[in-house]
Amino acid sequence: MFVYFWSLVCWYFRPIIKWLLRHTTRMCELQRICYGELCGAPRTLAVEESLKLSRNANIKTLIVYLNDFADQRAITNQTKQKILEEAIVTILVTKKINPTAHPDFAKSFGKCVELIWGYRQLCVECEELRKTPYDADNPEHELLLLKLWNLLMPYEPLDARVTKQWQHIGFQGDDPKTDFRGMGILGLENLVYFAQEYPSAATHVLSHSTHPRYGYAFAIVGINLTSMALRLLRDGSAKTHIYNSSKSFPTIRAFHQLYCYLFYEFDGFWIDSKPSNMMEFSSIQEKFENSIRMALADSSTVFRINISVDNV
Amino acid sequence: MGNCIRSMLQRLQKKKCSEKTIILLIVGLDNAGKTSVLNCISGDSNKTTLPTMGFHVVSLKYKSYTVKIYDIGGSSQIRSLWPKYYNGIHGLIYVVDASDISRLTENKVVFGELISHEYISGKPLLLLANKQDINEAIDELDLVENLDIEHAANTMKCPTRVEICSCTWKEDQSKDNTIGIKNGYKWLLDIIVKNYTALNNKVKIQNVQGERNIEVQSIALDSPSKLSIHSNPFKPIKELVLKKESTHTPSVSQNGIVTNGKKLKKMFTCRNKTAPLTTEESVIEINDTSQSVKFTPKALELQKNIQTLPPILNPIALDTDSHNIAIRLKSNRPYTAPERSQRFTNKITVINIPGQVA
Repeated sequence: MFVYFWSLVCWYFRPIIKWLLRHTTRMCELQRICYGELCGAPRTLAVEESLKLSRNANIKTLIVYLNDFADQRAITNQTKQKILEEAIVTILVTKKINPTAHPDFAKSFGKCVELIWGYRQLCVECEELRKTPYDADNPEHELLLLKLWNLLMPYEPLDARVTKQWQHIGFQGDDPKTDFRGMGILGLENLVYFAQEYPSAATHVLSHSTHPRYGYAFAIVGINLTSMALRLLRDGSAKTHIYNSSKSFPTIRAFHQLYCYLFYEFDGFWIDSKPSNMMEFSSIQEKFENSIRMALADSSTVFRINISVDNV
Repeated sequence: MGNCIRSMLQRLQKKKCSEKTIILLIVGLDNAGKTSVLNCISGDSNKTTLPTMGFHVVSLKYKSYTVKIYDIGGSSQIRSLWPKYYNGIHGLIYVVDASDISRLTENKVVFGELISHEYISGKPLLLLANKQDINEAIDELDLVENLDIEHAANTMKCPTRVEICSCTWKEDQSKDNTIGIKNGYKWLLDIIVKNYTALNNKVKIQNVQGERNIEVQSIALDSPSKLSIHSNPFKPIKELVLKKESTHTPSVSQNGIVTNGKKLKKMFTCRNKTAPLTTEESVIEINDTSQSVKFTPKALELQKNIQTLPPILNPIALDTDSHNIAIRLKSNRPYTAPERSQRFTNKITVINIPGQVA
């Protein structure tokens, strides 16, 4: 009831306030945001909100148009510049902004558009990878799996494709292919990225996972964390981190980076909470997720892996 | 007015207190489809499933009962932790990936260990042959033969039912696949509800026992001297209370069983797809179930020895050599088992070829 009433008030008063501010400051809302808010997540989130609430027909069609591009994954490095220019021109024309008087506006607004729709495209991209199931007949998938082994266990050659050795890196059975259910190839790509980009962190985490008391299944936890990262991405909580960390268009790399951070932090969290056995995983994971969500609620958050492996 | 409200509140509270809970456990090898089965039972079959690390709990309602279902991960690392959950449960669901023939021997070993646990005996068991949507999947009769379920269920006096099912839902096959899960689940809950008092008392005793075991262990670990805890006159009051409870409850449980005994027996002989034998072996007194708490694996072994051919029951050869199983099956084939024909011999070869891979 209250929510309904509040939205009604907003619906009528927002335009009035905007009109007042527009005439006192001689700037539109987007300009005020771009000049007033800090670069990164605060500005981008505010621009996103402002565009979403806009009732201007031109801006509405622009949003639909950009959404279509992102959903079809059509924003690439080649098309990016053209799309951005179109978006900026549309805004300048509808809001009657003089580009020579406000040269900074076009630049910072362009960056916001890039981040907002890059994020949207990233969601689509991750979803696509998640839906691709691991296929044992696909040589690319097989090679990726073997790469993961070689990265994590460089000194121990794999005896066969189906072997108990997979359990050393925390798969459930003799054949890892069944463990990628749910997260598909995205789970594998995440693991490979982690092992490839942060070899010292990955081996450190792997050695923790074989701890006699606080051990856990490395790969299975990794796949569960992929699911968690994807959850954060889908419900928009990860926006703060992605908007803050990306200099330009966010790609799948940004998601991998987020994943690596989560995995490394989770490992520390798990060891610190001293679980009595693996059965406590779901409760600890829930706690961990809550703490991450708390951190993401602060719009200045940006996650960076701080590797302190050498002194362990 | 105040009195009225108070009485209402009291009544509500009483209702809350008398609310009964049923605890079920889902186990099985990894990738058997335990989480999918649970999703199917709880009604959201579209959820994506991940390999379960640790366990999930889902609470559901059935008639006036609260049903709690524990879904435990099936990876070999977690399997050693399963027995910790056996004491608190009323019933068990065992899920088998019926399409993966190469893991039937592993299933047989795991299932054998599971069912011979002292806390499992007498509790109802639902076996699901999952993934029937895949062409190579074996049906329930083959499963019963391969896992030697008849024998295990008979010796442990577990009311057992086997269902075929599948959790994936394709348009062309309509909804029929999940019906096995629903029927089996309903059967399991019905049989628990019918014998609720007996089962619940058993669970309570086992819980107390389990706790005491842990306590004894911790005391034994903590005490530096080798003094036996029985000679110690100073016991924590909690332990005394527990002891009193445990001495008190058996009488009730026996009463419960006496009244429910006939029903239980009827269940055994008629309703199950894999009913225990009607030969002299199944004429074990149902009363025994109340004392089954005291069963130890050794006692079981003894019982087995008496009942079946003694020389073949070599525990090492039990699970590995399928020829021995064939001979052992001959000794006590129940009336519900499929006729022994070429099919049976076929099955043995099926076990042999992929089973030896591991």
